[in-house]
Amino acid sequence: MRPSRDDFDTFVVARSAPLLRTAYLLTHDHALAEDLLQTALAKAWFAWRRIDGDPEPYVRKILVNTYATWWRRKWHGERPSDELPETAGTARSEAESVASATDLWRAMETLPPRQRAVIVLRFFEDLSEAQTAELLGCSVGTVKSQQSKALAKLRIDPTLSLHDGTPEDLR
Amino acid sequence: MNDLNELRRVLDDRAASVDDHLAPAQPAAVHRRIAAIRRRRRTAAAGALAAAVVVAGSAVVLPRLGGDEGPEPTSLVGVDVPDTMDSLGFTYELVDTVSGKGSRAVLDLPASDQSRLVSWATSGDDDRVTLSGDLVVDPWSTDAADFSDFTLVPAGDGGQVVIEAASGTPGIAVYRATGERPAGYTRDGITFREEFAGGHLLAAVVGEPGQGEIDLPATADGPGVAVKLFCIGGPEAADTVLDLGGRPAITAGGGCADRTPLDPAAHGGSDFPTRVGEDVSVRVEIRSGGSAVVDDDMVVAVGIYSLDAYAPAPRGPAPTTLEHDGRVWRLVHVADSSRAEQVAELAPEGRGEILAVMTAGTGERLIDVTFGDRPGVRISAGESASLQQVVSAGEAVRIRQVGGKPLGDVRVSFYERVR
Repeated sequence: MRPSRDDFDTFVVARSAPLLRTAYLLTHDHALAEDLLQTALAKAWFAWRRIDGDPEPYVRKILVNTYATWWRRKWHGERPSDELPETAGTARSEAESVASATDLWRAMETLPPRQRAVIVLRFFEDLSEAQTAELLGCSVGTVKSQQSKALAKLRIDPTLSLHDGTPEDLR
Repeated sequence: MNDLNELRRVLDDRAASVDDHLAPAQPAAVHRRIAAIRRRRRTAAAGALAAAVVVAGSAVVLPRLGGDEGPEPTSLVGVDVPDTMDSLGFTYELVDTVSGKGSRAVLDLPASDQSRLVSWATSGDDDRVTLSGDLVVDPWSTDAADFSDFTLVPAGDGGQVVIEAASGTPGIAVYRATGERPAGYTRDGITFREEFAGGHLLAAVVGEPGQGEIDLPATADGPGVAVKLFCIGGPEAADTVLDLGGRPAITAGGGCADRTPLDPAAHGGSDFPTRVGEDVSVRVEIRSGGSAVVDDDMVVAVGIYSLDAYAPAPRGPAPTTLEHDGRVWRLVHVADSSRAEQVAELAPEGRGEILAVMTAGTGERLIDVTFGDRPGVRISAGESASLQQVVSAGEAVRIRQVGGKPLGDVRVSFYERVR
């Protein structure tokens, strides 16, 4: 049965919030995230009748790739140039933790768009390397190298994880 | 040093800060966005209408744009419009239609990041149409007027296409490239297709982001190779340094592009004569200001194609297969007119549209080249130069040296479209 406008609107209501969160993590800007999401949804609308099955992966793919391809043209001016200060030790005060989180967030803004996308897809969406590669339209090797470069820039040691959900390929 | 838990926590915290109370209102916002897209299209079409009326006086164009859903399977001027179209192995999907009035239809196509095909049909019994407009370099005619032919609009281009029908009313369909790609080498969304102009892919590689030097081993298996390479995301002022078989071959300026070409095989590149078994390994380096470029965003890609003929000079054999305007063409006739004072070769009859190719090596002498009754061009062909034009059966290709002396080496080849 061909999807209808009602299907589309239902999808938008149900899935806008998580998609908007992803868009925000990519753009680091609430207004740009809204713009990115609406652009992706509008693109999806014109292909709606050709989508088989769950449309969310398709829309998410449009969203991420729109971000990766438009970033250079529309949003190039948003990169702060701050270097992430080195932080030492694992036992930190609350103030230090807040500062570290802020620094990490700002450091993400220095990442090239594809590296930022890989970080969001891998560590927020919890996608596997293969899923991330499929979504970005690149090889698993590229995802690995982009992830490795991004983590190095964020000064994250992938071996310093206490989280059970650490991706299998980082163990 | 941070850890992954911290990264996840930052991402989760930031995501949780997103205010999603607008979700119920999102459909309305998205439909406003969709309506805005449609308005832009209508404005563009209305601009085309105004231009057509001013220029042509009697022309009237009625744009017909998509409905509330994505483009529906549709009929235009009584002819079914295909949902998809294929060009050189790449699939394009229908995105828009425009119906004309009288004998003329005008499409005003805004520039886009995506490659597009423009196809046409007519309601009349005589299928002959003529294409013109600023997206059609030189007007040409065809008898294929049932959405079986097209002209390719490369990514980045925009402008006008005008279709005039010999009888009946023309309609225009616009197709946009999809993600479906032909067989070949694909990586990071870049595809070097397996087949190219009668030749085949010998080797290809898409570098890692940030990798400014590429080494690609290959061995020639024919009389020539075509090296296709591009760089995206790097500096606009970079130089591309190409070595072939361990020897310096070309250094080109022009820098890196800001978009990935849909079909790198169809974009420029350089041809080289080879012997079977010859080392044609390619080394590419992107340099700027005398040093290697370091840029995490830069991607360099190289493809090496074997050619079935290497024939940039008119003395050599004409290629048996060519690509032009997103279509494949097969050699049907060669007229070698070297050393004459002037040449007038007629395109063969009975084969529909014909691609005429003039290849000349006239040194510093100037020559005038005319395809049919189109405006002529005056060129100095140097060691070798080539001009291509789609012509109709019986149209003449005329070449004349300015000053009336012998032309030098000239070859006129005619190709028919492979469907």
